[in-house]
Amino acid sequence: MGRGPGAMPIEKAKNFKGTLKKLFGYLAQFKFMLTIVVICAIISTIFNIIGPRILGNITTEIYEGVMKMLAGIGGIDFEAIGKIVAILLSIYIVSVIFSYIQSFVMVGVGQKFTYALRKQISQKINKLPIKYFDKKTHGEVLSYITNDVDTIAQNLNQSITQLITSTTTVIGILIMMLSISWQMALIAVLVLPVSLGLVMLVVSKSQKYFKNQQEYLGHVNRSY
Amino acid sequence: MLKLRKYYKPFILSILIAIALLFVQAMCDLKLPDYMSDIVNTGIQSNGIEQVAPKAISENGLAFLKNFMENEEIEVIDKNYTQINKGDKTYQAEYPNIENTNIYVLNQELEETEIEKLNHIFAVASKTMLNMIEKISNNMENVTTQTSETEKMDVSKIYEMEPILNQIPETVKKQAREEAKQTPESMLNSVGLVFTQSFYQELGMDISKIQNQFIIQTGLKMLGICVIGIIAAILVGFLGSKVGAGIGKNIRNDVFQKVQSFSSAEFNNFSAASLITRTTNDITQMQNFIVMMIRMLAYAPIMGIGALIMMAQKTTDLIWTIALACGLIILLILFLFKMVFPKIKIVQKLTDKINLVAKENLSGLMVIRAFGTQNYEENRFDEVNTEVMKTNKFINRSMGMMMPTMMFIMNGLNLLILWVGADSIANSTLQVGDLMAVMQYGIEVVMSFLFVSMIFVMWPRASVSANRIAEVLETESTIHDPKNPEPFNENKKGYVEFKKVTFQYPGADEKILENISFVAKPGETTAIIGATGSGKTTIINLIPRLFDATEGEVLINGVNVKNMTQFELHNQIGYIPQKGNLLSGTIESNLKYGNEEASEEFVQKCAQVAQATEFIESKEETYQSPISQGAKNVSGGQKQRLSIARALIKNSPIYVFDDSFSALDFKTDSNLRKALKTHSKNSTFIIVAQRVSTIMQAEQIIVLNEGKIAGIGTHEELLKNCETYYEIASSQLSEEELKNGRKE
Repeated sequence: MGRGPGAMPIEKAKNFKGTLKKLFGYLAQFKFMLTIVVICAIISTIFNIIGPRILGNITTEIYEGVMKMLAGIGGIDFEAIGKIVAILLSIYIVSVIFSYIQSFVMVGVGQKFTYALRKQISQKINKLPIKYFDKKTHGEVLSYITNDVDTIAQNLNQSITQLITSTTTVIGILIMMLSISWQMALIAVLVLPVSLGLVMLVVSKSQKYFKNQQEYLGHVNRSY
Repeated sequence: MLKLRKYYKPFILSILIAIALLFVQAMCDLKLPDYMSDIVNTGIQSNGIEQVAPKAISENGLAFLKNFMENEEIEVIDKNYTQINKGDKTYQAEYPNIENTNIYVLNQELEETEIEKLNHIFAVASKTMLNMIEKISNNMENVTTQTSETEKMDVSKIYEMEPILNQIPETVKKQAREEAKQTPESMLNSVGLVFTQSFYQELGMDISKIQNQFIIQTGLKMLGICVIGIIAAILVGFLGSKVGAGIGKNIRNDVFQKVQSFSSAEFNNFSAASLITRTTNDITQMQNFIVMMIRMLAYAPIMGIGALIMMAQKTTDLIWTIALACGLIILLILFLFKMVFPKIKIVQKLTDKINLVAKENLSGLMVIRAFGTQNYEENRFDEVNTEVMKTNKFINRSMGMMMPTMMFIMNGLNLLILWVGADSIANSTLQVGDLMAVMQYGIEVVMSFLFVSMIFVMWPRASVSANRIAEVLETESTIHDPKNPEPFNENKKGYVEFKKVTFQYPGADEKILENISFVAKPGETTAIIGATGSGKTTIINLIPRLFDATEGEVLINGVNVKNMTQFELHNQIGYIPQKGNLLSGTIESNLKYGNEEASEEFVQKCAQVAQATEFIESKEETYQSPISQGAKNVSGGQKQRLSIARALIKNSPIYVFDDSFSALDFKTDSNLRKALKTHSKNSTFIIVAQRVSTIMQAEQIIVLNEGKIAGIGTHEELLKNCETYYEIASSQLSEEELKNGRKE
């Protein structure tokens, strides 16, 4: 569903690149597991893409059968269809298994990452100069430990998975479409910038309202 | 959710319009697969020819087909077709071959039923002919090869067979007709369309043009329906957000107003933090849920049932596959929730625990560092942290199974529909395009089913929020303004009187105050002293009517506080809280909080009285210096002095100090009291204090002991006659000071 109506606007990071670098630095320790995630995601996506293409073969097979029926020379070749169904079923099963593995490993990475972050914050609390806590309320620090860490973990989990599957899907589907008909593929690709432009337009118009909403909610808070 | 239903009422119209629009959207979405099926069935399979009964047919063609019809059928045909003579110019463009032959044209504006009858007649005739050809094809090889490519069948070659067909005995013909009548409708239709196409070709019509036209036309229709659907969806989104935000706003307003009317008793029930969450988070939750409900709860059933009906129109053979898929999804959701739900509750508790441990760590920071117990604390945190990680892992892994499994069920459903559908097609009870439409309908039914089950998952959470809001709204404040407020007694301006006041918290057995009577007069200081828990603060709270006295009366300006408006009452009182609560802003904004029109000079004068000038002016921005949230950037003593100045600027006849000198050093304390006396000679001062030295000079000291008055009098009097006061004083003052007091 993407960003629901209640999605919070993203507070802009002061140093986005630096933060990203740091984040990837933390992630480096999970290299092996992340590789597994990438491989599994790619495999499961590829299988997911092949599915509809082979499914199309069944429709073709049925259509040809109907044509033969009309001509009165035979009918639908159920044996051929049965074979395709069997192939498809195994493809779906493989795809499901790989997505299970991928999500299983990714959850492991995400949770270990949150655990490590929380642990480091709790250790840091005991090392920070007391002065720091004059500027920050306890509520703020607590919110770092629970909410913010949760947000990072959740986004990490979603973004990495989505990044991989989306890239693979786009490339795979493009190849598939081209193999069916380059003209139709071209039309589909041409529609993309249009819809992208529309989305950008809506987002750019709505972003400031998201911000306003958040700010005024803050005002409501402060009136207590 | 239902408790708040009165808030939906003003938006009933918008909600109904939204639902109507959802109907439109669902209809549009449902129509699309139908048109797609038309494109496949008619556009591709039949080259865009929509009806079996030809719009025009050559003289020969009709005569030939009549061979395979019964007499009454021929009558129907003659009635509905008009002969057009060879070479008629008006039909030249549409049927080029009119040059060579007479044609028959189907009459315009026929009724649907009539056309269907004609369709059937032509189809049966075509099939009869085909059956006959098949029957004789055993003898005639060349015919088979011709009919095998029915699509490119040339009519002229069929005409060549006319003599042969005419030789066939009547019995065989009858048999062929019977068989044709037995053929399923969709098969008949397909055969009929093939022949119709041939007759069109005979007339020189451009079949590929017809096909293109049909596909483009249907495509445009689809586009149009799509646009209508999108507009409906946008309007629904618009209305939904409007309703959601409107309801949210109204509830938020009401909650805030309600909270404003709360007395301390109600505030004690809800913590401030909880009230904040209720006005912001809970209402936002509800608001989002309402928007979701309008968009999905109404749309999903319309869509699901609609798709099911559309599907049933195409075929009933496949409905069980949808039921199976829905059943599997229910099982999956139930299974996951049975497994995950208890764990989610555990995580909620564990998160609280993490918060607790971290909070203890933070608030005990000094102690932990002083005792060097960092390791112990870190281990304690680590324990909870590990537990959270493990539980979260379990939850996320279980939930991670959901999406792939759903995908698998959907894909499996497609396969099943194709497999079973192929069978129906083989039996000629279904067409290929319909099968494809059914696949889409199937996905739509399952999707809407998913949405509905998702709402059931979200319902409890929104319901919890709604209940929390309703709790606030349903709480009645115990303190109300009187209907007819009494005017103040002018002779008793500034008087605060307690007459036999007893107080106990509602539902509690113990009396906090018992039989308290005293009078505080203007120009005098009345001090209240006593051990912790003796009821000092309760007396203070009764004056601005934060609570109502259980028995007896509290009078201000000679009028019972219950008989004046709270606004009037609070105007009479300058209250200085113990902790000196300041609001975020600047020093000036805080000082002028009770009296925005106060002049610059008056503000400065009051600050001087409150002994605050020195530190204010030592700051760079003096009166414009910022005060942070929770006033963390000023010390406790500074806070007290600022809040005293704030009360003075309000310039009210009665001042109530709730232990407001506790954070001041002795010198500032005494200077402040002196300045106060001279600044507001005619004001009434009521001071709660712990330090005897603060109140020694008071005109009247009330000594409290366990909710009762142990003595009233001046310092000297009390030292002589009040045992409790003597005990307090002797613990704080030197022997000499005590003696001095007694002598005088």
